[in-house]
Amino acid sequence: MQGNSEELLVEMRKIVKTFPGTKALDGVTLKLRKGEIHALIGENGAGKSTLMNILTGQFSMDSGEIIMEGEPVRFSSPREAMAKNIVLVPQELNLIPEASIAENIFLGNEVVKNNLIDWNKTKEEAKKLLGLLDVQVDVSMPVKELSAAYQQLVSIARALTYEPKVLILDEPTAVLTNQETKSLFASMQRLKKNGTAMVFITHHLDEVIEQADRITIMKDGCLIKEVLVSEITKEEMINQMAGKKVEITSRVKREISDEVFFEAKNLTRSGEFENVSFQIRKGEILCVAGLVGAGRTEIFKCVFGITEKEAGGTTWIEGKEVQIKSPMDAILCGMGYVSEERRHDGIAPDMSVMENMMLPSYDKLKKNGLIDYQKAVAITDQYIASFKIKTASRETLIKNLSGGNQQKVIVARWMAKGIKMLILDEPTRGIDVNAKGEIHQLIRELADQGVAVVVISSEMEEVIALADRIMVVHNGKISGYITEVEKITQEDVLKVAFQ
Amino acid sequence: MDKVTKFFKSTAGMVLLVTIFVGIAVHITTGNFFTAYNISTLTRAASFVIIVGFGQTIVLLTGGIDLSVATIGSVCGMASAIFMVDYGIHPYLAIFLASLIGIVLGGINGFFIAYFKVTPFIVTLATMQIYKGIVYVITKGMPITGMPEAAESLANGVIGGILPNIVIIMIVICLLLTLMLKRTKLGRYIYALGGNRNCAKIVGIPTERIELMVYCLSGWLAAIAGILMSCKLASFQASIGESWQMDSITAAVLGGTSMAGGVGSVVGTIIGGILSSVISTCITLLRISSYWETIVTGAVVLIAVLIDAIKDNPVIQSKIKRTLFGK
Repeated sequence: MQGNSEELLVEMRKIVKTFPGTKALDGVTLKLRKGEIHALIGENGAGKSTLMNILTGQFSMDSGEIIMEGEPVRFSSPREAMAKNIVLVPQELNLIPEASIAENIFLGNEVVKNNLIDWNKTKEEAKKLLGLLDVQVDVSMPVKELSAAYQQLVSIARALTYEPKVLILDEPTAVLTNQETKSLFASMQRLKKNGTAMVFITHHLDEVIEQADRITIMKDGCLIKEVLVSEITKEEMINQMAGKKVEITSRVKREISDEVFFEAKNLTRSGEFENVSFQIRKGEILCVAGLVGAGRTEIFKCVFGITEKEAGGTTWIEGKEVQIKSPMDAILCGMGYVSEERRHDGIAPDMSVMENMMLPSYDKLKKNGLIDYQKAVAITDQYIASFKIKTASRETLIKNLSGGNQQKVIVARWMAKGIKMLILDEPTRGIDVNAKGEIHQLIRELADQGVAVVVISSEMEEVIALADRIMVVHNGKISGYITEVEKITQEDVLKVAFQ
Repeated sequence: MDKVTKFFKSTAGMVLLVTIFVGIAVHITTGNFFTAYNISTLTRAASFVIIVGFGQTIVLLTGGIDLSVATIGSVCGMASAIFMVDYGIHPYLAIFLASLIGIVLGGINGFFIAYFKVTPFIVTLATMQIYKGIVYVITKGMPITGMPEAAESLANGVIGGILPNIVIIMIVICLLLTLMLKRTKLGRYIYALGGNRNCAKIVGIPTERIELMVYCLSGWLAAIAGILMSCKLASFQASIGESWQMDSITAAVLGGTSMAGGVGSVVGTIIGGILSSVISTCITLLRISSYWETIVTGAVVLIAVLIDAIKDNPVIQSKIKRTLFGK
């Protein structure tokens, strides 16, 4: 699995970049060879994205140089980098939802004949590129109708239109299921054979071990080391990234009461899920597993009242039937919800940490009709301390926090509200190992206090670490439960799903 | 200290500096900018747009826009004039009743925007036309004259020969709105709605009700401005406050309110409103043809927002540096 060529394609030498107040990169060197998969790993904020943004001309560097095929180069825009066949597939997808798949793939790189766009050829080429990724879809469909996973693949197909010599993949597997991840890896191996150098940014170290040839480890804007995959273990990687010993989250066996907190009977939304019935007990952590697109997110959006259930379905709390028609109703019933799309649904980016935490709780904070900020400050500070939220102050805008810390603020938001049931959808997606462990610990503490917790997760490690019980969803139906969680694998989940 | 530096780095702070700078420059050339009389007239003239701008600011905070403010002001100004002149209702009661009409007209905007999810721009564009039409249908374009003295003295009164009533009204409204925006649940929900609507829904904020209330409030403030303007002129004309929709947006934006929602304050809107007024006063003082007024105002607005855009964008900054100094 080692890089089959020692020939340097791109070398970034001693790159320095400062942002107001922080040194984002401090003399980092990165060497990319032809036909290698080069994993770039490090915690959130280590400088991986900044480094890639410099390589692709998004940011300018303060000092240092980039050598490509023996020539010094400097890009002042992504366009210039693309002209040299260096292409980035960003983590946040840049797709136009209303435009067709084919149009999105060739956006900025249109297939032209006589100065007019040749739509037939566009579609044909788009189909070919998606074929390379093992994707068969109608390319004239608008992108908004695709699942997040397919949108990711469309973005990769777009990058391929630039015939990349260097392809940078930023967390490409974050939203993919096992199956899709496998076919993505197969395509990466194919590209590798053609001589493409790939930079693979990921938090999944197993993927690194499985796919990469070389690893560059970064921490706090510095290069820690470059090493061949065969010469390092997962534990070493983690320790180098964190700079200290980290415990990988492990399973904790917990006792749960028999009291049912929430029950759903025959919930249906046509096209999303049908006849779904399940129970959650107080203090239980119920993990919901299954393939992306199975209807997991949709079921719990409906439970929380974001979408409305169809007639016939009922919801019960502590044995009493309740009508939940909006998130407001759900909150009154004691529920909280942490969305899988933190930026889209979770945070108000330009508001402070305190406000983001207190938003649903202002009712409790009223004094003479005005908000009692002294109380809000006390509560916020208490959670910042107990959740170990890394923030300059409670007044810091939440957009300036790392993903993991933003997520902690959102969990704290519901704790402060005093909820009895919390739904978390992919709670640690795109969050580094350290923060992930801390969030898992918070989830357990919540459950220990008697809160019924639902965790929708596509990560087996997370499911195994947290679940008291696993509910497997497939094709909009509950296909079964797994209660013996200790030694299960993704294959076991799939067996239940397809049974 | 920290708060002061932060303020002067904000849009509103920059605009305030520009305003003071322009004032000083004109004072040096003409010698009569910083006179009690001039400042008094200037703030009085600005107050109307600023009051309308308050409503506009709050609508912008939610991520919306209200193009109908000018014509709501016009309808309510007309209503107050009719109440006083044709029905002989006591001026203060007439003012109160007419301002309620503003809430209803704003509520119509809010109803379609909040519950039918129609784009605010389109809804208020349509109602702007409708409300304008109502004024012309009722008045047939004729002015309504003969408003009672009590009404006129309310709007034109000056305390101690220097402090206009209207400025006091404007400041009181500003204080109340600031309290509402900063310290009440409603206020924080308005910011949250503009900051991230999805997030607002998920934390259980009644987004529809808040949106409806915001347009009602904007309608009410526009009505107050329209009514006070009629009182000031002691007569109603259909052309009252014709340019308020754009002027109010200008004041809000110059005051640092984001068109995307979630960021801004009503105090900023006062500063933004004063700047526009300062420019037109300066043009008069410098004896420049008033035909130049809109060109200068537009240019100043453009420069102000440009400085603001560059200030927060390191990429553009480095590009400018590169083009200016090479490398």
